[in-house]
Amino acid sequence: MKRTIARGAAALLLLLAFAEPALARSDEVRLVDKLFLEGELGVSVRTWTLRKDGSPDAKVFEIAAPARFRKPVGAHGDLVLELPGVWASIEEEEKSEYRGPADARLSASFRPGGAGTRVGIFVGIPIGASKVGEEERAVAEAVADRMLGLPIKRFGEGLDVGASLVHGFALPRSLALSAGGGYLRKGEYAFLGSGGAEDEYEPGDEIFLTAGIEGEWDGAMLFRAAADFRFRMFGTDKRSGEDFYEEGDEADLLLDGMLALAPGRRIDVRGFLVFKGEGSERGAFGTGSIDSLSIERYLRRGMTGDYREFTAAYTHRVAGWIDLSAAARAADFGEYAVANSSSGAALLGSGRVFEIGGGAETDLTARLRLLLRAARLFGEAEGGAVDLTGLDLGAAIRWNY
Amino acid sequence: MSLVRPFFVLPILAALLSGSAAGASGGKGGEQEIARLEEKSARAPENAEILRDLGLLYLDAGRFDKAMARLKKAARLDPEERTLPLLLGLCHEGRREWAGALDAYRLYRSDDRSSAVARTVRGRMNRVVRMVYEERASALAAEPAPLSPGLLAVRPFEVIGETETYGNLGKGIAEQLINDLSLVKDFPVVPRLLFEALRAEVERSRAAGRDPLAVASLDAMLGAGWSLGGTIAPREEDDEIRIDYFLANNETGEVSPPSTLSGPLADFLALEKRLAFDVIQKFGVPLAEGERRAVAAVPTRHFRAFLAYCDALAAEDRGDSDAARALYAQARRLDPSFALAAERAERTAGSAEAIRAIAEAEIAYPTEIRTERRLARSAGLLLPAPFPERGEASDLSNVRAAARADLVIRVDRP
Repeated sequence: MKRTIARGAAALLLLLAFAEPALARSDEVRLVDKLFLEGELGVSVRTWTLRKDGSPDAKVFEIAAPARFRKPVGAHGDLVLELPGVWASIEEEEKSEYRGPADARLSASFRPGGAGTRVGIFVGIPIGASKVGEEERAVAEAVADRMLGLPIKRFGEGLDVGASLVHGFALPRSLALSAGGGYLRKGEYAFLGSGGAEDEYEPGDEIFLTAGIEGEWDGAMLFRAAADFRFRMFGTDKRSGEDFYEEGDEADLLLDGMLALAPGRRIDVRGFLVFKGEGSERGAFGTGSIDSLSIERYLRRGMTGDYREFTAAYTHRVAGWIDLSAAARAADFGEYAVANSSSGAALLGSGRVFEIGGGAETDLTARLRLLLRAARLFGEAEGGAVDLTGLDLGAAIRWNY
Repeated sequence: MSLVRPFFVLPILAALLSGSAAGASGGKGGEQEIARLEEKSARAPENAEILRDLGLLYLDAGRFDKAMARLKKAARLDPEERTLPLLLGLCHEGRREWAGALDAYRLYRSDDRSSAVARTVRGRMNRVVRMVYEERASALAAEPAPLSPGLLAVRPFEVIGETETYGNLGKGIAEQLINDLSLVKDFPVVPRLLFEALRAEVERSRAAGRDPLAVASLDAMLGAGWSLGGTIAPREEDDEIRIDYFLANNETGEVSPPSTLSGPLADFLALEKRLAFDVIQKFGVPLAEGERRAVAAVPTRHFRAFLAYCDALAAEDRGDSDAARALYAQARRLDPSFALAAERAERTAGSAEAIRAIAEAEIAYPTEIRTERRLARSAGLLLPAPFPERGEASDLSNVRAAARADLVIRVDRP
């Protein structure tokens, strides 16, 4: 049924795409009418090997194949449908594997009258699997681990519905400001607990607030910088109708800088700082002693502590047709924080992950763009108790009409 | 920043540039806006932005002299302003100053030569060239050029037989022969666009009750001392095509006995090359090795692609840009290496409205794109972000996605 809905939605979008007479679409018409439809098909492969003394090595991989369609609606609206497919596994002593769709996403945005206010709507369409079987449960929980940075962290949840409103404007010289808020209503879903008993889980709703500023200075070189602050508040998750877990509120700071040295040559830097409030001890998985846990059990703990990430990339256009980039990332994860710990259990979740890699982008034709990336991953967790190494590969084709 | 409303004025501009004087007024609102900006400009005479906006308003109102003065001053004050070459080009066109228009468009700096914007501007330049030919054709119809003994006019060949499929081969071979002969130094040839413009002018005159052909032939009006013409007879069932051609001396009235070439349909362009070399030899023009190689180069070996190309030429000649564009695209699909078809397709782009839209987007860019970027970034933090490029995954794709969003080059974004 869920797959039928997904296929129907994709077919409807494609039908919309070709409903207009194709011959009338010329480049000059596109200048006035802008983009008619954009499609993107991508494949991303991310693999990890985790080692810990006294525990067999664990291998985790995820292949995500998202299809994404964007359809501009009018001069100031956008409709985006994302249909991800996923194949993930974790292999320690036993193998746990999942293949299938993950939840689809439909989002729309609109700027009434083309002014500085943008309204957003989001729907998470539950076509993925929330009720995973016993043999899939280990991988379904492990992929959510934030240190692994897998693109699909959950295979399936409930029907999520959200809305946002943001207002922004550019000042005459070089600055632009924005502020806004959003609300996400997370739908309940059924899952199979240990022993195969079905349970209802109702994640808490989320409230987002944000404010940001950016500037652009164009001299001999173009420099652009942006800073955004976000505050996230989480409601209480319920299990079988009763309060179960409360995630700590979160304050985020996102900093970006870009320096265009010359046409086709640029440096990008990013800093992402997450300050996590204390969560409840009940229902939290981020506690326990690392010595007593196998890697698989460790990855299923789903820790959410502070987080700091820094990324830098250099892009260089070669021969006027291909953009090559080199990039590096360093991420530092803080341990889970608990309010009023009663058990005195050790807190988990600290670690460091590094990525070094590069990518290439080129236009295959006027309307077809190819994107490639590859990176080497390494790091450690829990004060060096866990060693991580991995690989990240990605390819995508973007088509616009 | 004062922005003039974009699409309100487009129909007026289109009417103006297509030669119609009707509607040459910015309307009451436009006049009020002009008065307001003139007052502002008087207070800040060195403000290039106000002068540019004023120039745009005058342009939309069809007051090209005033527009030109404001825009030129703005260009002196801010030579880096990207909109001004486009607006000055439109202004020159309004004054029917074709060379000035071409010079102005050449100054437009596109970030990417292969972009839609760059193609559109080049397309507009091609249209200006066509206008130059139309004006010359009009003058020639009124007063034929004096005969130039060395000048050759290549007439569209007549197609015998299946005209539904092959009818436009005659135009195609003429175009190809002119392209080839133009590569030879000291071999003056009448441009095909001029020939077609004159033919269209003559048709218009005849429709108006005056027949210039009663006085002189098309070739004579062009001042061509020689004419090259002929017939093409394709026979699909035998997979054969035959070309008969002749040269006529317009000074003496002598016509050479027809020469004949024949071969398989797929070798049509090879036959055309033999024809071109034969004509060069008959005129006794010496060929340098480089010229020989250039003339011998075949634009496509795909006969069906060349047929689509010929149909596109015909569609272009009758002013049907959409059909021409589709046919050039068809030619490229059949033979992706058919670069000439892509080059010619550019001629179908570049309406005055498109140029105006580019200028408008350039003007709006600084504030609009910054506002849009800020809203998109802010909104991306409020709800689950799109997957996976800007997704929750904290990996390198985040930076690349940000970089890509910033890489959107001005109005070149598709």
